[in-house]
Amino acid sequence: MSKAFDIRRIINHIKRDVVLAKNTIGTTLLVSAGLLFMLCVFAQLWDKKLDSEEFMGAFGFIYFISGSLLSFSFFREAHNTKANQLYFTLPISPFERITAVWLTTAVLYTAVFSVMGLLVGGMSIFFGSLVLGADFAMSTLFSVGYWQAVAIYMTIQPVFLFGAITFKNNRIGKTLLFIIFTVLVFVLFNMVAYGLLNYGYDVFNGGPLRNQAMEKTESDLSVLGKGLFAIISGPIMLIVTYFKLVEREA
Amino acid sequence: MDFDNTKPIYLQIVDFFYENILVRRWQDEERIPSVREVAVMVEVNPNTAIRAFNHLQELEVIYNKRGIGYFVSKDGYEKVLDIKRNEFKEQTLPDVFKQMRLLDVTFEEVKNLYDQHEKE
Amino acid sequence: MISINSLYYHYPKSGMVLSNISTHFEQGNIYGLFGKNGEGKSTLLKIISGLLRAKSGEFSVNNENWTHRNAPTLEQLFLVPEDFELPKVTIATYEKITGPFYPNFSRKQFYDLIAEFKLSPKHHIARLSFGQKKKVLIAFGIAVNTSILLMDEPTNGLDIPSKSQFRKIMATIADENKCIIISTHQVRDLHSLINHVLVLDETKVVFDASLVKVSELFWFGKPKSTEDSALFTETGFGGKSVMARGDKDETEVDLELLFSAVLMENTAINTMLKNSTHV
Repeated sequence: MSKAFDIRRIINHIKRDVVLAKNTIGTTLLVSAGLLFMLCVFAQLWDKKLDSEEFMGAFGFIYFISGSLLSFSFFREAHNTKANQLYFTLPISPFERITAVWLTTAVLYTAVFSVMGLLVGGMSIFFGSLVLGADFAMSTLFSVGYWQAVAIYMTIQPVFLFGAITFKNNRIGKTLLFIIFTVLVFVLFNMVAYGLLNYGYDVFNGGPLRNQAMEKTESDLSVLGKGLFAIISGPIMLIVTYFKLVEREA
Repeated sequence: MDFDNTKPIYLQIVDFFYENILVRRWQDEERIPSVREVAVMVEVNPNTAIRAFNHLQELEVIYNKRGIGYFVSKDGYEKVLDIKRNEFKEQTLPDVFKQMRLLDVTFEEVKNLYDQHEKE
Repeated sequence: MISINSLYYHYPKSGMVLSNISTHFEQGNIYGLFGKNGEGKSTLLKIISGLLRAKSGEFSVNNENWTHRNAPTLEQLFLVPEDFELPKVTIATYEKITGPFYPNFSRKQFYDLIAEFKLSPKHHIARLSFGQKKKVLIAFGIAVNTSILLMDEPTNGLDIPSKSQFRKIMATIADENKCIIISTHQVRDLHSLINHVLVLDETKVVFDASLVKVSELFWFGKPKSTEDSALFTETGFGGKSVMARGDKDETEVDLELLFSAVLMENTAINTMLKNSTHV
């Protein structure tokens, strides 16, 4: 009897997904590389240098967009009534499957995309210095902005996986609606909570006291809140996705 | 192998064995195909083939050498001849007699036809 | 091996598809799952393979309660669905990405069967005909060597020579460690392989017996005279009958006739079956 949780099955599933999505992954990376290269060269046209903000802006944007597109291309077999019988009888537990898909679309994707980004960034700087006479400064490719981009992607990406397993058609549109709805609920909740907690301070009458209180809560909570939100929202969405996967019938 | 619709398949397989032994395709003390091979050959469930083998073993037409396979018995040919003779006398002939009575065919006529057939 | 106790199933917003199903499937048998179209054959196979969840009832596979898709059980089970879609890759790629999931998968056996079916590993699955795709999946389903093999209408889409090939292959792989369940409405294609019959009708199991038992109790054919009362007789000229066997010679079970008899004269047939088990 084999184990209930087995790393081999996860590796097998990653291999399977990568082989099946070979073309999608290839095209996405190629288009991303081309786009990133163009943006980087474009940034060097006037000021003859690529600064780290420019690079990270372009990198982060493309990394996020193509990552979300890639995530949405997963679980397609689950919605196809002809393919999902073979998909769901494949010997892998829902937990192993969600782990495999997450490793592929979040971790593996980030690693591959980062290497690609470094190469393309380096090439664009090389190209800039050669053709446009721009500064040759590879150090711009390494900055704290990278970790921020990764953190944001890791936080939001599970929502795309959730959308990919939950919605059959218009998965991207429905997921965006879901995100907007969630954010609205979140904002509303914050406002109500703020109102209730600070009601005694007479915050609704305006005045300097109110403004001060607002600023205080904001600065207190923003760092802690963001971090908390980031830590919670990613795993929570992964857990919700897991249950969606368990529930799915073919 | 085409199946006769009324006779159980396992008995049809038995008949197939009898025929092979009677025409001496399978000699006494010779190894015969395995259960699996017979099942595949006639496209049946191996359980059905096992029934045929068991039946033949009970009649001592074949025997099993553990770990090696099935063989035709030392006097397998004689045994089959006996069995088929009895079958002929007990089943085929009564049917013929019944038809003879029904169609009013005399024994003399049959005898003449038989002699003629043997001459050809 | 597989044991089912008062299982109920219905699709969302529909009437019962399966009600009060109780039966069990053992190793070493090839079960024939019969029923008119839409009588829940495929649904039952989907429940057994974990694709659908029973609404109520007890259900275990290999003595393990089987309520969610756990990997160790799935490793011992393969379903060849009636209608399916394989990944759009070559046969060889399909084997490489799917075979490793099954601990007892045999590459040699798979490629031998592929060759027997006159296919090549280099063939692109998307370009094959439906019958050829079915052969790929049947070959794979056999090569995974799971202890439970479920096949939903496996001969659909196979031509006549391939059906014979299919029977030969099934005769090769059937053994005492394997439990094979084949659903079909094409009784003729498989009658020589099956050794246990299960008939579904109007959401219920209306017949469940081994063919050895059936041939012990029933006689199939054209009665010589009208002295015996038949349990069921086909209409039309030369219609055959199902009768109590009594001390008559054993006949081959005529599955089509049995199927009609079970649907038309269920009480009479099952009463005989029940009485015999009490003796």
